[in-house]
Order: sequence, then C-alpha cells, then structure tokens
Amino acid sequence: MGDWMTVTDPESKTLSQYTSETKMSPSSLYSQQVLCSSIPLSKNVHSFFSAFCTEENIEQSISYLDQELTTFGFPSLYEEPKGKETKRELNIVAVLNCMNELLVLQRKNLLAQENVETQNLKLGSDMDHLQNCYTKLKEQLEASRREMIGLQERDRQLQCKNRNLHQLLKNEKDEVQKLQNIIASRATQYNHDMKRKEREYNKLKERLHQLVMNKKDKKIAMDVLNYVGRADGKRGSWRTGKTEARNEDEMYKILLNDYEYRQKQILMENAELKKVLQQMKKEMISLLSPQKKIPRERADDSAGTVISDVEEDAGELSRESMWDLSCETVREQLTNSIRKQWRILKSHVEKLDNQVSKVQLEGFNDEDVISRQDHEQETEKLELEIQQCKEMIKTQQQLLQQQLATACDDDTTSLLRDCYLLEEKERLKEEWSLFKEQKKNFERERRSFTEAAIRLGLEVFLTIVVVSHKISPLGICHLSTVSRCGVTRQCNPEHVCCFLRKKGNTVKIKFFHLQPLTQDCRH
Amino acid sequence: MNFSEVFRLSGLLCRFSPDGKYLASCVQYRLVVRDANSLQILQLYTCLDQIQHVEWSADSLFILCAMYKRGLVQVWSLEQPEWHCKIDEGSAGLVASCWSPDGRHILNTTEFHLRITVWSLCTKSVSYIKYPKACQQGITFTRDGRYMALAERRDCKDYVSVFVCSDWQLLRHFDTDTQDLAGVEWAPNGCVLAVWDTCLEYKVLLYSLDGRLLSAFCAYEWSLGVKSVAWSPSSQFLAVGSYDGKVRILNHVTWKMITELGHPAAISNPKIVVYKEAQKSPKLGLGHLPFPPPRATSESKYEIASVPASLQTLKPLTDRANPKIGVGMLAFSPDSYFLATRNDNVPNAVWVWDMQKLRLFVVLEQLSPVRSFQWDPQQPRLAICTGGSKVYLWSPAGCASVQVPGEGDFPVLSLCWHCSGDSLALLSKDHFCLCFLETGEGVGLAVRQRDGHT
Repeated sequence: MGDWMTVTDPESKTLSQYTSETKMSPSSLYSQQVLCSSIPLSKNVHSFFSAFCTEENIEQSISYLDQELTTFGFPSLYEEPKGKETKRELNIVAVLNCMNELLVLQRKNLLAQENVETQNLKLGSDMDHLQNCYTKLKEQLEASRREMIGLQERDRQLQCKNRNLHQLLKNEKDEVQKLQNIIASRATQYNHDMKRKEREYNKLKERLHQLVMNKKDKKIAMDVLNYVGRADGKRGSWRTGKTEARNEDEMYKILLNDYEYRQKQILMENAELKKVLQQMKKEMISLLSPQKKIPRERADDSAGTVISDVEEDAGELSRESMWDLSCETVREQLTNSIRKQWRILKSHVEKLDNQVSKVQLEGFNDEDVISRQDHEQETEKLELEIQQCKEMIKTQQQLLQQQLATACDDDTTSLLRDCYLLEEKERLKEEWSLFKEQKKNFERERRSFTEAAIRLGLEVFLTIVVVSHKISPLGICHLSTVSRCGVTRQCNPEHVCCFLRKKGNTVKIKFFHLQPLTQDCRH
Repeated sequence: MNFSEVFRLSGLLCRFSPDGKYLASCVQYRLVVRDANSLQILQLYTCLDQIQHVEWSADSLFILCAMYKRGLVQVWSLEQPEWHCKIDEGSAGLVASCWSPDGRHILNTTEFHLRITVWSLCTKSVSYIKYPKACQQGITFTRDGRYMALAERRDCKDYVSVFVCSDWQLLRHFDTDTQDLAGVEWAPNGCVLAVWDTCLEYKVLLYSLDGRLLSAFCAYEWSLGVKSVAWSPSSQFLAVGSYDGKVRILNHVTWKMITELGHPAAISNPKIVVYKEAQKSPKLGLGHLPFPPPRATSESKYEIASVPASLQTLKPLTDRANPKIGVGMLAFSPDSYFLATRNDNVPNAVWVWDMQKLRLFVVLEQLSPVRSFQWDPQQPRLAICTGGSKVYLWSPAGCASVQVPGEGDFPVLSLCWHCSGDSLALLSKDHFCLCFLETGEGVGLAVRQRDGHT
C-alpha cells in the first residue's frame, strides 16, 4: 500500500498546490489510525467526512478523488468529456461503483488484517512454546551428560575390578596348573612303581607255580671245609633272657655315653663362652671407668650410674669367681650385667656422637677441633696438589725420555756431556779413594812383613852385599820410605830395596830379592 | 703321581681290603688278590660262575664272592688258601649278599626279598629274618659293628628292627610313620638312626638307638622329596638332598634345619671359585705340518672362570618317572669340613660347600657328566670321574686334571680310594689301574688366585 507519510496541516487550504507525486492526504494520519485500530467508523464518520470535503472544495475533492482512484486502477469518476467543455460532469454510476469497490476492498483488507493478526499471535505462541521446549531440552541434556559421566566412572571402576579379578583368576589358574603338574609327576611315579611291583608279583606267581610243580627241591645248604673261630676269639653263647638283658644294658650304656660326651662338649663350650663374656664385661667396665674424672664438669646421669655399676660389678666379679657353676641365677646375673654395660657404652657413644654434631652445628672455633668441612676442604686441596705434582712428574719424565731418545741441541748435549763427565769424575774419585785405601792397607801389610824380615836375617845378607859392592849402604830403609819416592810397584814383602847412595847425592835404588832364610820370615 | 699298569677287570669289581694291604679284583669267574702296593698277585681263586659281588670281611681275612644267577656264595680265606666255603641258596635264589661286621656271618637276601638268611661261619646255626623290605637301603650296620638296623614291611606298614650283631638277637622293633620307607642309615656315632620315606613324600625321621622317635623333618609337601641322604663323619650334621635341587642340613642338637643349600645354574658371588674344564688344543706351527698328523690330544686343564658364570643345565623329561633333577649325590669330606654334591640337572658340575661357613666354596664343571666322586679317607681331597680317560682331583689348594696314560682310551667309570689315601683305583669296563699319589703332594696344578679370600 502506498503509505506516504505527509506532514500537512489538515486545515490548510492549499491542497491544490500539491502534485500527484507527493500525494499527501490531509487526513492520511487519521486514515491510518482508523486502519490500525479498526475502530468502527460510525462515531467519527461525520467528523472524518467533513474534514476532507466541505461545501467549498467539492470540485477539488472530486478531482483529487478521481486522480487517486485512477492511479489505483479504478475507472474515472467523471463522465466522458462531451465537446470542449472544461468542466466534467460527475459520473454517479462510476462513483457508486467505486464506492462499492472500495468497500469490498476495505472488507478484504480487514479480513486480511485479522488473518495476519491471528497468524502473528499463533507464531508468537509457537515461539514461546519452542523456547520452553528448548530450555527443557537443555536441562535434559545437562542431566543426561551428568548421568553419562557418572556411568563412565562406574564403568571404569568396574573395569578395574574386572581386571583384578582376571589377574586373580590367572594366578589361580597357574596355581592349579602347577598342582596339576605335581599331581601328574606323582601319578607317573606311582604308575611306574605299581608296574614294577606288578612285574615282581607276576614273577613271584610264576616261581610259586614252578615250585609247586617241582617236587624235587634242591637242597639249600652250606658246605664248608671247617668252621672258623669267632673274630673275638670267644666261644659262642646261648641266647637266654640274661643275654637279652645284657644287650639292653649295653644299648643303654652306649646311649648314655653318647649323651655324656655331648653334655661334656656343651659344658666346655658354655665355659668358654662364659669366659668370653666375663672378659668382655671387664673390658667394657675398664673402657667406661675413666669417666670418673670427667663428669665433675658435667652433671651426667650416665657417669653416676657408671661409677655405681663399676662398684657393683666389682662385687659381682668376686662373687662369680667363687661360684663357677652354671647356676640359673649366676647366668642371669652375668647376662644382665653385660646388657647393662653394653647399654651404658652405647649411650656413651651416642653422647659423643651428639657432641660431635653439636660442635659442627655451632661452628666451634677451637683449634683442636677441626670441623668436617674444613677437613674436607683440606683433603680436597691436598688431593689437587697431589694431582698437580703427579702431572708435573709425568711431564718431566716425558721430557727426559724425549731428550734421551731424540737428537737434542748442542747446548743441551754439551750440558749432558758435562753432566756425564761430572758423574764419571765423581765415580773416578770414589774409585781413587778406594784405591788409596787399598794402597794404605797394602803398605801397612808390607811394613809389617818387612819388619819381620829385617828383624830376622837381613843384616847378614847386606853385609855380604856391602862387601861385594864396596859401597857404603845408606841403611836399610823401610819400604815406607821407598813408597814416598813414588815407587809402588811390586809390593812384595820379599823384595827389599836399599838405598845405595853414591857420591854426588844421587840415589840409586836397587831391589834385592829376599832369600828365605827361615820359613818364619814369610807370612 | 704314578700310574700302575693296566689289569683286566670285569663288572667294576675291584676292592681294597679294609686294612689296606690287599686289593681284590675279579675277572669273570676268577678272583685275584694282589698286594696293594706292588700289585703282585698273591692269591688266585676260581669260582663256579661269573662273580657279581665281591666283599672283604671287616678283619680282611676272608672274601666273599656272590654269584646271583646260580644262587651261590663262595668264601675264600687269605690265611689258608685251601680253605673253602660254599653257600647254596638253591631254589630260594639270591639277590644280595653281605658280611656282618664281625666277619663271621654272611647275610643272604633271597629272591623277591622273601627272607634274609644269616649263615654263620663259626657255628652250624642258621638264622632267618622274615619280610625284609626291598628298598634302596634296607640294611645298615653301625660303625662299631654292634648293631644292625633292618627295614621291614608287614601288612602294608613299615617297621624297623634293630639286631645285636653278636648274637643276632632282636633288640628293638618299632613301626615308622612312613608311607613307603626308602632307606635307613646309622649315624657314625651309632646312637641315631635316620629313616627316610619314598620320594613321593618328603619325610626324614630320626630315631634313637632304643627306638624312640627323636624328631621328624618335612621340608615341603606334594612335590618329589628326598633323593639322597648323608651323615657327616662327626655325626654333627645330616645332609638331605631332595628333588627340588636343594640340600638341607639338620643339626644333631635340635634336629632342625640350619641351612638350605641351593644349586642354581648361574653363580654370581665373586667369592666362589668356578673351575671349568677346558680342552687343551694342540699347538701346530704355521707352515710345518708334521707328518703323520698328531692325534688330537685329549689333554685338558682347569681354567678359572670369571664370575658371574653359568653352568650347563639339562632339561629333564617331566613325564617320566625318576626324573634327572634334584641332588642325587652327596658326600662329606672325612674331616666334615666340606660337602660335595651333584645336582642332577646340572650333571657336569660338582659343588663343594664349606661346612664351617655353610656356603658354597668351589664349583667344578667338567666337559662330560660326572659319574662318581669320592673323598680321600684321610684328608679333604676329592677324586672325580666322568667316564672319560681322565681323573680329576680337587683339594683346597687347587685342582688338577690327570690323563690316565696308556695307548687307547681308558674310560674311568668308577674309582675307589685306598684307606690310607695314598692310592686310588680307577675302574673301567674291562680294566683297572692304580694311581699312586705321593703323600703331601700338593694338588696345585691349577692354582687358584684367591689372594686372601677365605
């Protein structure tokens, strides 16, 4: 419908100024209102009608209406123009038809409007209904989701249980299998034994049968050349009640001996163990007794008990040494005292441990006490040093080896040579000193020999010599003077050298071989 | 170590006399008595049939030869070679024969274990013992020879009878709470008797000499039980080896278990020395192959295996009876310091346990399954044989593998020590030879490097 919105003053009289395009109906607003509200037209008819058309503007209203109607497709309200008359006559028939048409249209439109309204209402209610359904379904969905989660959880738990049961079942099956195997092996063993027994039984039956049939029985006998004497040489005796009794006695004697022997062994073992325990106790007491001096500073309970224990145990010791028997009470006392001592020792050790840990915690700055950390650090440092030294030694060794193996520089070789020469020189020096010592020893020996020789018979020899040579002897020199001259050869005690001085102060040395005058000379 | 020359033997029947002077060996139906040191033949006796069992009397004066097929026992005297004695069991048959400890009575077990006949060599008397039990170890004598314990079964119940050997008087007769008694053994001190049940039931019962039950020991139920039992020579311990591969040691004071010794196939404790036998490979110089090519030497030596070491195991057939699992061999050393065991599903290994510390000391693994081992009667020295031509010796100082010299193989099937521990008899199927060990000779050919471990 062409709703053209107009903003016109319904009372304005300038209707004709408006063109058909911008068709404004002076009472369009009213007409809309009427359409929408569908108020019956009866009340406002008169006002409505008088608003649009009055006595004055009949022609205009007619032409306006005609225009409107023709645009809507109705036939024109005017008659067909006859001639050239400008004024057109109103076609009453057409007007009435148009009115009828318009009424019909109006009715149709009203109907349509009603339909639309009802449809609208329907749709509205449908929408509401659907909304409700939607919310309900949403809630249901939530609920079902929750239920599903719950069911899943249950399912999981049941599956776990199922698995466990399966496992149990498997274990049981294995157990059953094992037992079945055992039973099977037992069964085979049984069968085997049974078969063996049956075979034996069959043989027995056969033999029995044979024996029954065989009338002549082979004589079961022993054939011996002569009877041998008994092993112990005694005569055999009859079996009587006395012998029975004797046998019983023998048997019991043997058993008793065995028990006594065993009891002795056990007693010995007990005595040894007791000795060990006693020793342990004494040592423990001695270990703990030095505490007597220390606990003046600290009010420890343990110290007090130690002292009292020591006194107690001293008394016990003397008592026990008197009774060295395995009395129940003595045994208990011993074990109890050992336990006590052990507990004291343990507590003492624990206390020491606590002390040590306390010292570490407080960072006790005593010079005697070295904290563990420092100790560890020191050891680490030392270890590092050792490592470094080792590495140095290794490198040095390597270098040395290299030098020895490969050709070196002249400087180094000369240095080395010098080193070697030095070494050799030192060695030679040592040898020289040894040599000198030996020389000294030899000279000493020579001296002694020559003295002896001289004493015994040289004078005779020399006089002869002197006579023959006509030279005045200087004298018989000892070999020592000779050696000073530098002659060291032939350190033979048989040789004597004489200085024979001639005129002119030249010294001649002559060696004379000693004739063995007597055997005593030489040694 | 010297080896004597090889002599003929049949049936592994080679026995030293109890006084150590003689050695008796059998070749088919002949009994040869030799001097134990020089192996000179001193006597030669001929029996009526192939000998199946030979036993010296306790005073070394008589030897019995049992011929089970003919049901005969012949007794020979060493002092008087012309003396003879023949016992014919006749239709009763013979399955076992042994001396009594006084050396003057012979106990013959007749066929089907119907009875034991006690024949006397001193008097004309014959005694019969009815219903002896046919089991692994039904008769046992005390070490001093005074008493004999015999297992019997009457009316489907087991009994033990104790006889006084001097006059064969029944001293005690009591029933035992066993399903099916498998064995009896006296303790070396003669005051306690160990009785054990069949392997289907783990039960060890200890009875005093006068028949009182001292203790009953049961380690577990249902699985296969006791396989082997051994007393320690000091009577302090009773070792019980069972099918679960463990040895349980009971002490003589409380008769309760003091420890369980397991035999795992993997050794991880570094304090245990594991000796493994290794083949010595012959050294061939490159480019100089000698002609004829040398026979592959079967020399072997012991190598110390590093721990952790694993041993060869044998998977036993579980659906057969008498399975090869469990501790089947047990032996204490003469000073009770060591216990040697063999776990049947680790058949190549011998385990030596230290009894002072009750833990594993040494494991020796050979290249083939161990057939038997025996301790030297005087010192803790163990001799082992595996069926190969070597004998293995172990002592705390070390161990050695010695090849038996001679052309051809000498498969050592069994061995037995001389009572002085100076020599060892090695027995094969058809031969035997003696191995003389120098006294004090250290068995240190494979020195262990223990460096202060104890």
